[in-house]
Amino acid sequence: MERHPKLAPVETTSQGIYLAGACQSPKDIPDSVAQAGGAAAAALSLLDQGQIALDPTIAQNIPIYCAGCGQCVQACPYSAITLVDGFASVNAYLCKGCGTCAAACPNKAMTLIHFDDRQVVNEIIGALASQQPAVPGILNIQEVSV
Amino acid sequence: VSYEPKIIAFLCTWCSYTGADTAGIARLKSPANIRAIRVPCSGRVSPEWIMRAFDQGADGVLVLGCHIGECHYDTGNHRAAKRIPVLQELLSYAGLEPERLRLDWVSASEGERFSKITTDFTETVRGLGPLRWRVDDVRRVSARGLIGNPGAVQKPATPLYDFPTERYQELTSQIRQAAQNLLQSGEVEFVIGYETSSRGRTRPVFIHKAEDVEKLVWNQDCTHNLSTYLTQKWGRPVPVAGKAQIEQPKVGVVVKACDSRSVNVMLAESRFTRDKVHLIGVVCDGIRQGASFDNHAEGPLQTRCLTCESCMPVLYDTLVGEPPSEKVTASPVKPAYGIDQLESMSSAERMDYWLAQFDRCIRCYACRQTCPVCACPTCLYDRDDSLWVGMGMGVNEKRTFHLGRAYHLAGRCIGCDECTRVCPMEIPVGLLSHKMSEEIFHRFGYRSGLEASSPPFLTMLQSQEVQP
Repeated sequence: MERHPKLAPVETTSQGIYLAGACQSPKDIPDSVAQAGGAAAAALSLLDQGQIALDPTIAQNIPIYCAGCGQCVQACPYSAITLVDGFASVNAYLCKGCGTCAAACPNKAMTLIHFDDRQVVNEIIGALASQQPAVPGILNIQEVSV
Repeated sequence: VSYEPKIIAFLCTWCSYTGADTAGIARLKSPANIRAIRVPCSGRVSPEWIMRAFDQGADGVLVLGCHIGECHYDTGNHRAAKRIPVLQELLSYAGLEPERLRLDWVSASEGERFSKITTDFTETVRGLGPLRWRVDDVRRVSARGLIGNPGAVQKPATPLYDFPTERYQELTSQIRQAAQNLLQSGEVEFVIGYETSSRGRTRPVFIHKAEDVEKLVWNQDCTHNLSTYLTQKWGRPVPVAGKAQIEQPKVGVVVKACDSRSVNVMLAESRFTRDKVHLIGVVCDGIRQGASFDNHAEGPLQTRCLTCESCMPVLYDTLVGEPPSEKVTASPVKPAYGIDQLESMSSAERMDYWLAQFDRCIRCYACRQTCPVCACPTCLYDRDDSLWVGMGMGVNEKRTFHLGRAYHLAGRCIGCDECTRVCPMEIPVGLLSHKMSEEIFHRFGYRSGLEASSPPFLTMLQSQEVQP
């Protein structure tokens, strides 16, 4: 399926794989040719850059905690994770940063950069702190609900 | 001051977070009780976060994601839809009202729906009142008169069972013969089996030499799940870049029917390969409850044996004993491990029951060490950074450990119930895992460990599950 029907009609959710023709849906020859032209142009724009800018939000494995159980491999929608020598290894080009692997990992060896467990847990702790910071102009919840 | 619930909402950045924005732009009201935490996808929401939020004093947790079939990451929300209800069932079993955790879908354009769901959820939680989940003072547990209470759940009455002691001699000699063949041919490095100690108790033994096989025995007290040594004995190789993995020796193991299922779980999780183990499968007659020094033929069966469905190992290389001509059921009693009794209680009663149980925990981790499928290098709940659980002996920490472990075992636990047996404080740890197994069987029709090819269940998506 295309990544977006209007904004990314020839791209798939895996970067570098493009769609054209009847593999997507039934269509006639002119439509297929037009779409193939679009796919070729999209591929060219990727090739022409000479380098690929990766999303900074990707999964990362900490091998000392990794049990090699393969839950992350199963969880990844993009098949970006493989087991190498008994440890999970993330292919940074395929990873889209959804973090499903990090949620699946029972030992939290897999983390998602910029949404890692320490950050989110601290966010939870901060959000539940009973003392609201005394910042002028910010109302705490009791004041709002009166 | 009127009661204002604190609610943590995990919002998927593509749909629900934008949906919240849409609600704001449309000037729709959403309650101020919602504390939004942005996540890339509802699939990123770790169940451990939700437990942490409740531990930290949240009155409710809301997880919002894209509608099924509309996930930005294809199938992230399908995983959330599989995990979160299982977690909800576990927390509900531990005494949390299930309404306090909700998983729902809000797309980017549905500002009105966002407003409605958050208002509705806040009102539901407000109606339930403040959550007593977090016990701030351990003494509050004792004030409720719960410490030392053996618990409201009675162990199922187990009828005395006549163990076929006359068969054990024959089985013992067959096991010895199999072990001798393996060791003499040099096929395996050592054999893990059972021996009789000098005080007459049955215990695990590692046999390295063929002349030692006379130590091996088989009787009604061979309760240990020896497959747990397959991981702990070999350990994990230390990761060194560019260095090949340490060669694992081939090992022979004596397995019962239930133990063979845990071998399957280990194989599915690639702890070792099939050619590294030689399984001596034993056709099991049931195992006696309680460690005993005597050799009486009569005794109560273990609860796991009462619900056992097959005495035949699902996986073996050498079979010891006669395969039954018909299905042998040890007893028609199906006590279901007291799950029903706990389910008939109210949430508050269940919470009190479990608080009293967990309060006795001394954090010795015997349950984890004996578990064949608990095999992480450094347990999440054993780290020195206190991110998931503090190192204190408070009942909150102990509950977090046990519930977290039960969740991690969901779809992996094979019900050998060794964790309950080894607990020095007699906490029915296995009850949580059994509940999870039952829940997964009822929801998905899945039993763990029956096939080596089945991947970890909670992360696996079958083709029919991804259909919108």
